[in-house]
Amino acid sequence: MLEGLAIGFQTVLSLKSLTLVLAGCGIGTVIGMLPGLGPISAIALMIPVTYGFDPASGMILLAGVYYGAIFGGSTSSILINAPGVAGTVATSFDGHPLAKSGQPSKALAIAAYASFAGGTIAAIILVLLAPNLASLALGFQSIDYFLLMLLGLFLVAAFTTDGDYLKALLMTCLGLALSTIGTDLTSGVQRFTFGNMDLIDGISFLLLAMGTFAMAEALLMVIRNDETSFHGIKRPSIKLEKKEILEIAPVVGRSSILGFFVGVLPGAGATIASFLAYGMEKKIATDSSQFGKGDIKGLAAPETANNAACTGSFVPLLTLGIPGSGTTAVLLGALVAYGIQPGPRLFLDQPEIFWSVIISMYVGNMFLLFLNLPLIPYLAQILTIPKAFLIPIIIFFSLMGVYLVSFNTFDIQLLVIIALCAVCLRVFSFPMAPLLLGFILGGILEDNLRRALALADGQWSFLLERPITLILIFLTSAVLLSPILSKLIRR
Amino acid sequence: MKNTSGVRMAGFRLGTLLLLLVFLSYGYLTTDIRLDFWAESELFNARTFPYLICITAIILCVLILVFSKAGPLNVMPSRTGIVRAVLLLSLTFLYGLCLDQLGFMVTSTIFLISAFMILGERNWIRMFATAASVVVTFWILMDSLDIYLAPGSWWEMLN
Repeated sequence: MLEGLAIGFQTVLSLKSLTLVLAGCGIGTVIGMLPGLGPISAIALMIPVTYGFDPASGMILLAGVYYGAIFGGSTSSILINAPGVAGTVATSFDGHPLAKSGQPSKALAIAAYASFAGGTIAAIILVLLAPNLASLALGFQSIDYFLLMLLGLFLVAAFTTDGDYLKALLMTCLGLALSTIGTDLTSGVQRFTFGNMDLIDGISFLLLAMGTFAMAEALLMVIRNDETSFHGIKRPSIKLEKKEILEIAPVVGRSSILGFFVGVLPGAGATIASFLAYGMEKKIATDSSQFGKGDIKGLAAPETANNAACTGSFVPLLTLGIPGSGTTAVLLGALVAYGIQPGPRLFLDQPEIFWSVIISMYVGNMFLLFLNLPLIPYLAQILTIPKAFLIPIIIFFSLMGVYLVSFNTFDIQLLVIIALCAVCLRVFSFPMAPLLLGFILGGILEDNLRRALALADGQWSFLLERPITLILIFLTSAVLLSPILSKLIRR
Repeated sequence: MKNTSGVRMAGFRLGTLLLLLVFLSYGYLTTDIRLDFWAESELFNARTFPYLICITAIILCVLILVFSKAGPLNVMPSRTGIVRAVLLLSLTFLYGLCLDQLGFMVTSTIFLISAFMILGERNWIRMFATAASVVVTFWILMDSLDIYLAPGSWWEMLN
């Protein structure tokens, strides 16, 4: 392993590689800030540029783009409540209220520090545990994935919303229902398309995210007609007080570990990790009343877990050739295009690629911190723009984000309808996060349940055959019933 | 205060009832999903997951109607705010209708200037300068990423 690390450092610490990491982080941050262009789009856009490089350099650049895009996504999530990717939705829960309360610089700085810490801790775990973790993740079967995702949905409904638990569960169902629109990929059957060609591919995640968050948030600002919504922005300061550092340090530690292990599981990825970390911190906090109102723990937890999960998602990619997320699927495509077949042999045959990618993640994190921290006070000034200008610009970026995915104006009209419904639901305190997570996981949930039942030939006994399945069933049931039980106990 | 609470409760119940209606329609439409003849006898087909969602959601709607309280409104809407929001939504809808014909540059600039006006801005120079700079910067950025934003079918016809 030490030999591998030495090879990795040797490759990454050359002037060429450092330039590539720096360029990747910069490009990724800019692209990630644009709603609609998340890490997947950013990497996809950069792959053709890397064709002229050797595979190690190409992967180093793409790893930089990946991390940069995630940080850029968090920035737009915090400043204008426009999460461009699912992984940064949870960041907006406390990040945006903190920014709105006059501390956007602090919110962005916490996000940067938490991302750096999460990425660094996860990179260390990756180096130590990569080979063993890959085989552990391989042991998961379809039903385990199904239960894990169900657990994620219940956790979000139970712990990340202040309102009624039943309302949150209903919103999860609405998200799941929306995910069924379009062609069922297994059977090829069209569902709920009403013969409309524009609905054959279903509703895009981005459209729903923009409609329920960015666009709805902009419209709610208008409806409130509250000129003092954004409090005066205090002197831009990215320094954290000692008390704040002590407060978020254990959160970062816990969320890094949680995020990394969730990221290792194929399909789970940064979204579940960030929601789980947020839910966990809210659950164990002595005073959870500030969550959702700008609590720094509520910002640090998802941001750390998000980055840690991104590192974790490289484990199945590099050791098994299985992409752990949409983004790593694109990276897999890039590796194959370079003529490299990821898998156990990559360790032995091309260690310089395996280790240089891992080391470039760490170096990329460091660069990201140094690159973005000086820019934070300038980024935070976005909130000082008068609302009469800021709101239309947010709406414009939401529209462009949606339009650029499909170049179909039907999506803009659908966005208007979704935003209208989201505003009505939000006025009556129906939470949007469970809806979005239900939508993201709907397709994967259905696939895994279908596969599990097909493999078991319709017999339900498979639920009781493996200890991991039993543990997941117990955890899922406990989380589902916990709000009800806690209410009964309080009575 | 009593009045507000009554309105909240009525609105909340109406909202939940509408969601119940949505899920009842969803359940009805699920029966309409066309299956291949061999899929109908399968344990899990394209209708199964929507049915599961539908049944769960209907149970939840009933439970909410029976057990849940309205709770405070997340937002206190103002009359001017609602009018402006409706105008903005209509403008966005129009933007979607005109984008293909008038093209990105023209439609986006008009959209932004109109939205600034709806929100109370009256300084034409500021409005035009802001709209033009946002649109042109965005166009340059997209162009540098090799993303093509069409000029619009009407301009192409004129040319």
